[in-house]
This record gives sequence, C-alpha cells and structure tokens, in this order.
Amino acid sequence: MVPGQYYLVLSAAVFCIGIFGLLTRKNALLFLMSVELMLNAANINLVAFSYYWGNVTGQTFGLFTMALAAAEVAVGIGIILVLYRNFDGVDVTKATTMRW
Amino acid sequence: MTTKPQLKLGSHLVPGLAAVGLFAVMAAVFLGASFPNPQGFADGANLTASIGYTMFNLGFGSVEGESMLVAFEIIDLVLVGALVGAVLLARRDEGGSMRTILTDGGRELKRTLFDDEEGDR
Amino acid sequence: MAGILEFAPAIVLLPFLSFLIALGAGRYMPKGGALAGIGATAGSFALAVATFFAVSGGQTYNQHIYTWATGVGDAVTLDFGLLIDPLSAMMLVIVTLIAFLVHVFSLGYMNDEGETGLPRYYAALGLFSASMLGFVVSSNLLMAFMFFELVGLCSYLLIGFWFRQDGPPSAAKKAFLVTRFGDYFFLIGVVAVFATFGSAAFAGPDAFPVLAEEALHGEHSVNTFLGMGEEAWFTVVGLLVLGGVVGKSAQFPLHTWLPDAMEGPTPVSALIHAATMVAAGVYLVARMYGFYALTPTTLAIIALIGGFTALFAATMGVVKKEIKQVLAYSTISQYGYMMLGLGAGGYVAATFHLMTHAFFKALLFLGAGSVIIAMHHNENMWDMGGLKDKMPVTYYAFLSGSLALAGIVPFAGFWSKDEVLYETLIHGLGGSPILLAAYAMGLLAVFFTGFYTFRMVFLTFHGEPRTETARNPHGVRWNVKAPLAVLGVLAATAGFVNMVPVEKLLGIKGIDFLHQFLDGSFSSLNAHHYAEILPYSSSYIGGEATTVAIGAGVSLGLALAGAALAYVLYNVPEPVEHTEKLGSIKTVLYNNYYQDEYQVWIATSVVQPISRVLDKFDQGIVDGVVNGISSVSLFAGSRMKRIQTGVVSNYAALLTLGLTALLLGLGLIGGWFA
Repeated sequence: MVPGQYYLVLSAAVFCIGIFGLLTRKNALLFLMSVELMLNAANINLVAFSYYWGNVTGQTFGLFTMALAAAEVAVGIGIILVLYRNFDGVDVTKATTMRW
Repeated sequence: MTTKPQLKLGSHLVPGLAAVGLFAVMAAVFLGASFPNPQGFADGANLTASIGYTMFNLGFGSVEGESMLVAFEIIDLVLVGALVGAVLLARRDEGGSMRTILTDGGRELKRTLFDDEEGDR
Repeated sequence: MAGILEFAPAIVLLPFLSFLIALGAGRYMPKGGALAGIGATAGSFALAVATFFAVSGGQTYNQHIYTWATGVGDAVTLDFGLLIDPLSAMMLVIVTLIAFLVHVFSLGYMNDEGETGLPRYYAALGLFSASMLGFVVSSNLLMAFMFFELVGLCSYLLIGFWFRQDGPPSAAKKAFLVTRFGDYFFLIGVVAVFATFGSAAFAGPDAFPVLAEEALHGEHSVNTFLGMGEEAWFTVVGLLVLGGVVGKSAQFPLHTWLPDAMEGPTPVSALIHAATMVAAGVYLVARMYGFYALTPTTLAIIALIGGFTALFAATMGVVKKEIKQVLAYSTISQYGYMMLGLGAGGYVAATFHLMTHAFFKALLFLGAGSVIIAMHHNENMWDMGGLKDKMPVTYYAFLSGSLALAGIVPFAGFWSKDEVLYETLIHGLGGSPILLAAYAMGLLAVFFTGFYTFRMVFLTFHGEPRTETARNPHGVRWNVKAPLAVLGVLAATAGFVNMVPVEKLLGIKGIDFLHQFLDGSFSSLNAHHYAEILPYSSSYIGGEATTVAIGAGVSLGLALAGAALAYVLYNVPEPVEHTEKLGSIKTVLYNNYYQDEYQVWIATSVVQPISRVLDKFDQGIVDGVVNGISSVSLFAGSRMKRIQTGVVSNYAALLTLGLTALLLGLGLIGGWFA
C-alpha cells in the first residue's frame, strides 16, 4: 500500500521537471516536451485520486487530458512552424516582438 | 557517429532553481499533509469497462463514475478545432513576406518605409 | 368670472412663449419679434386684469402644479405651485401692464432707431417678463428663488445688450455679481427655511410664516440651529433672505450695481426699475411678511436700511448730470421708502408705494427714453433745455411722473409716500426710537427728492435750449407717446385708490380701497393678520387726524421746499451749475460716497489675498497631490514595463516564482508546514 502523499510528491516532481525544462531550455520543441511532462503530472494526480475515492471519474478525466494534450501538441507544432518561418529558428528567446 | 549526451552545466541553469524551489515547497506541503486510507477499488472490478460506460453515460459499470458524455463531445470539437488550427498555422502562404511583416510588430514595414534602423528598439 | 383663475398659468406662459418665438423665429418676423412680445404681454395683461377682478370678488387660488422632488421619510418635498392672492394679483397687473407698455415703447426706442439684434432683445424681454411673473405667482420660497435668479439672469442679458461697447458688458457683470452676492445669502436662507420648517410654502396648511408664528407661541416645534432660541433663529433666517432682497432691490450697501445698469437700453431700465428686477426684492419681503412681522429685530433692520438708503441715494441724485443717473438714484431712494414702510409695519403702505412707484417710475424712464431719442442718445441734462415746447406729450407726462415722484398732492406718489411716512411715525411714536430715526431720514430724503426731481425737469424741459440738438430734437412717434400718455394718467390718479389721509381727516369711510383689497385674502396672508402680529404699538400727536395732518403737511412742505429750491436755482433761461457751492461734499457725492471704491478695495485688499492663499493651497496641495500621484504612477510604470521582456522563459520564471511565493504564503498562514 503506497501512502497517498507519495503520488502527490511524484506528481510534483514530474511537474517541476517540466518547469525546469521550460526555464532552462530555449528550443521550442523542448518546450513542448516540458509542457507534456507538466500535463502528465496532472494526470498522475487524477489517477491517484480516482483510486483514493474508488471512482473512475478521475481516470476518465485522465483520458480526456491526453486527448487535450494531443490537440495542444497539434497547435503547438503549428506555432513552432510559424516561429521557425518568421524568426529563422526555433529559439523562443528570439521571438521578443511582443515586449514593451 | 553518435555522441553520448553530455550534461551541459552553466549559468543558463540558474532559472531552474525556481523549479527546484517550487518542488521543495510542494514536497514539504504534501509530506506534511495526512490522508485517510484510500477507498480503493473492489477486487475484480473491471475498471476499463467502467471507464467506457461512464464515458458514454451508461450505467453498466461495476465502479461508479460521473457522466462524461458532454465532455466527450466537447473534446471531439476541440480536437477538430486543433487539427484545423494546426493546418492553418502550418500552411505556407503564397505571399509569405506579408506574414513576416505582420508578425514582427510592424518593424519590417517601418524599416522599409522610413529606412529607420532604430526600428526595433 | 368663475374659473378665470384656472388660466393664471397662462399669464406666465404667454411671455415665455413670446421668448421662444422671438428666439426661434424673430429674425424672420417683421419688427424682430416685437409683435409676438406685444401680443403675449397684452394677453397676459388682459388675463391679469381678469384675475385681479376675480380676486377682488374674494376668490383666491393656491394650486399645486408639479412636484419636483418627493421627499422620502423626513426629507422635504419640493413643489411648484401657483399662489394668487390680492398681493400677487395686484403685482401681476402692474408687471404685465408695464411689460406691455415697455414692449410698445421699444418699437419706438429700438426698432425706429434701427438697432440690430432685435430678436435677442425681444427674446430677453419676454423671458424677463415671464420670470418676473413666475416669481410673483410663486407659491413657495424655493420656486421664488429660482425665478428670482432668472430675473437676475435676464437683467444681465438686457443690461449688456449692447455688448460691443465697453460699458454695458461690464455694467451687466457688475449687476449680476452684486446681486449674486446678495442671492448667496438668500439661497442659504431658503435652505435654512427648509431645514427649520420642513416646508417653504407661503400659504396653505404648512405655510412657514404660520408655522413660525405657532412656534413662537409654543404650539409647534421647529428645528433651530446654533443653539439659538426660536426668535433669534428666525431673525437669522429673516436676515439671510433679506440679503437677497438688499441685493435685488439695490439697498445700501449693495446698491452700486443699479446706477451702472443704466448702460442698458432705456425701456429695459424702465422694466427693471418699475416692475421687475428691483421690485422683486421688496415684493419678496411683502410676500413673506407674516414671517418678518414676527421678529422685531429684522423689522428694525429693514426699516433702518430703507430709511438710510432713501436719504443716501437721494443725496447722490442731487448732483448727477445724466437724466438716467438721476432716475437711477431716485429708484434706489424710492425702494428705500418701501423697505422703510415694510420695516415700520406699513405693509399696505409699502405695497401701495410699490404700485404707485411702478407707474411713475416706468413713466419717468420711458419719458427719459423719449427725451433720449429726441436728443440723439445724448443723456447729459446740461445739453438739453427748452424741450417743453418741442415735445409737449413727453413733457406733460414727465411732469406728472415728476410730481408723483416728488410727492406733491394729489399725484400718486404723495399718497403712498405719505402713508409710508405716517406708518413709520405712529409706530415710532409708539415706542421705537429706531423707527423715529428712520422716519427722520425718510423725511429729509423727501426734500432731496423734490429738489433733484425738479432740477431734472427744469434742466431738461425748461429754459433755453443749450445745444443744437436740443433746438431741433428728433421727433417721436405714437409708439412712444401712447405708453407715456397711459402712464401719465396713471401716475396722476393711481393714488386715489388709497386716500387714507382724506379718510382720516374728513371721516369718509371706505375709500381706502387698497386696504380693503389686501385684506381679502387667505387669513394668514391678509393685511389684518399682519397688523395683529406686528410688534409695534401706535401713538399719536394729539389724536389720529392731527397726526395725519402734521405728517402729510410736513412731508408735502419739504417736497415743495425742495421743488422750490430747484425752481429758484434752475428754472432760469440759462441755468448754471451750482454744485461748486457744495465744496468738498460735491466730490464725495460725485463719487457716490466712494461706495464703488471701497467695495473694490474690499475685493482687492481683503478678498484677493485670501483667494490667493486658497489658490496656492489648491494649486500646491490639492493639485500637487493629484499631480504627484500621476507622476509617481508614470515613473513606476515606465520602470515596471521593463519586466515585459518578450522572452517566454522569463515569464515562466516569474510565474514559477509567483506560484512558489503564493504557496509559501498560503502555507504559512494556513499552517501547512506543521
């Protein structure tokens, strides 16, 4: 029997790894991967709490999250393509035209 | 020839400390919290079938769950929208230069019109 | 005549209609909209006369018309209403008649002289008449105040009619500001009346004079302020309202605007002085006389101001060169008499004088207007002379007005002025030294009045013509002569409606028609009631008839003496200025006792430094704080915007740090780290 807190700590760890990636990388594709990690951290929580309540709603939500992740990746890839086209590369720190 | 991935250390990792800090805080909070025992699922419960039933709002599952039919339909629309959006974004325009001008905040246009090198400052 | 009072609102609305017509369509109409004004005021006059007869028959009218704001709980309700009683009915007739005659006269004075801007002139004239009529029929103090202000606005527009010249705009501003200074107190007074009584109605179940009377008898409780007793507080309220009266009726010390107001067209001067603006102040005191009669202090102050102003203005009128200036000072002086009459408890006497004065002063101003037309707009009396033979209608009308003004029997002014002085005398003898002092001043002013009036007449009409213009005056037409003729007859005969001295001396009962008329009203608004609540007692010198004879004899004698002095000095073929003989007094009189100078001094030496300090405070502290806040925000904003680097990673880092800080904060507060 794994205590409930451990799931949460795992989820937090995965989420923070995703954030770490966001903060330290410049490549847009790696950004996308990091975001996937963060989404899946949320999925871990959903599934953990599904078990906790003895109810499949959380797991169903996990499925929906995956579907949403697919949509997000589709749009994200599209954005990366536009980024590549307009700024000659996938370095997110170069696209700063919307600063002050 | 393939190279072994190498850990590149340096000052670019400094912002990552924020993520580490967030983890420390969250871990401290979670470990300090106490949960009652989980209810868990009954032995032999068919979880996959239950998920399928609950997704289509059918009450045959052995494990209870909320009705998800509306969410299912919304996700359908979102996926279609995302697909169309991705295609739109990814499509290469014939007049590509125009798009460049529009997405750089007008700097390119300003540079061409006014010959102003200070344009993007 | 039943139901004629239902048409009373039309008396006010007709001139207002003419205002709208002259304003909107005057430029497309013949005579610049004059005909609309003449028609409207003629209609109003007809209705007013009908109303007058209905009121004589004992009808009164106190009708609520419109609720402006409904009070919730204890708050007051603001109403518009119409109050027609003998006083307002009489005033309606006067105002509509004078307004009508002034409109007709304007045809001669403005149209025939080829003035421009006539639609503006007639529009303002219509609005002026309408606001004064609205003021007259007001059923409560707030409504009266609003129309009072409208009257002030219209006088501003009309005095400054020739706004392209230098004098009129500045005179208009002066008239507006000086009367506004008085109206400021009036406004506070209106608020005080509402706060005290919860109602400002003149008549009806919750009329404030009645409430005040009950409060003094302890039958009703009212709110008083500043820890004062009821009588003291009523005195304060009365004096506050009196501020507006002093400003509008040009009483000392706020009379300075009136002589300057002569810059306006002469028919306007006639309207302002006889029937509208200046009369409004005195009328207001008469309107709420039931309130003033309760406080002896206020009455004494009114009497003293009146008596002093009567004398003070009369002395200034003695030295003036322009015909209209003399008339201006005579107006101030005559309104002083009315105030004296009101303050001395002579409600009917003062109202009577208000009526006769309206007729003879309108006559004198229109006569002066006629002379000014003839003299090609030269107003200096020293350039006139000998006009008697050239313009007989004007001369005889003017003479009738002058005799009335000087108070020579049997012209209108004699009866009314004599009654004012008589009331003052008997109430003064009844144990009020202040009234005796005011009486003495009033009596002295009679002499000066007789003198300056006939100085004016002799200089203008008698002797030899002193200039080429006076030798060949410009003729005037029927539209000038007709109003003069009407008013000339009225000035000679209006006094017969109230021949109290004759009644008292000969014992003929029932010829004091005005007394009877003003008695037939609401029980709280009639002359009889006022006489009961007045704090004065009467006393006589050897019997009533003897006192009447002595009073009338003395004032008539003084008036004749003044006239005789003027006759000796000025009714010669080649009159010369005698003002040099006055020595240094002449300079003082020429400069109007330095009233303007000291008021300007107050403005520049007292008010201006205070204003400057306040301006410093406003500019430095109030604006400084506002500007400071804005510049701090601007500066902070210019620095804060640097956060928006446009680099996604920075935003993500900030978000992460923010989330961490939020979690830490919530955790520390919520005790998650236990």
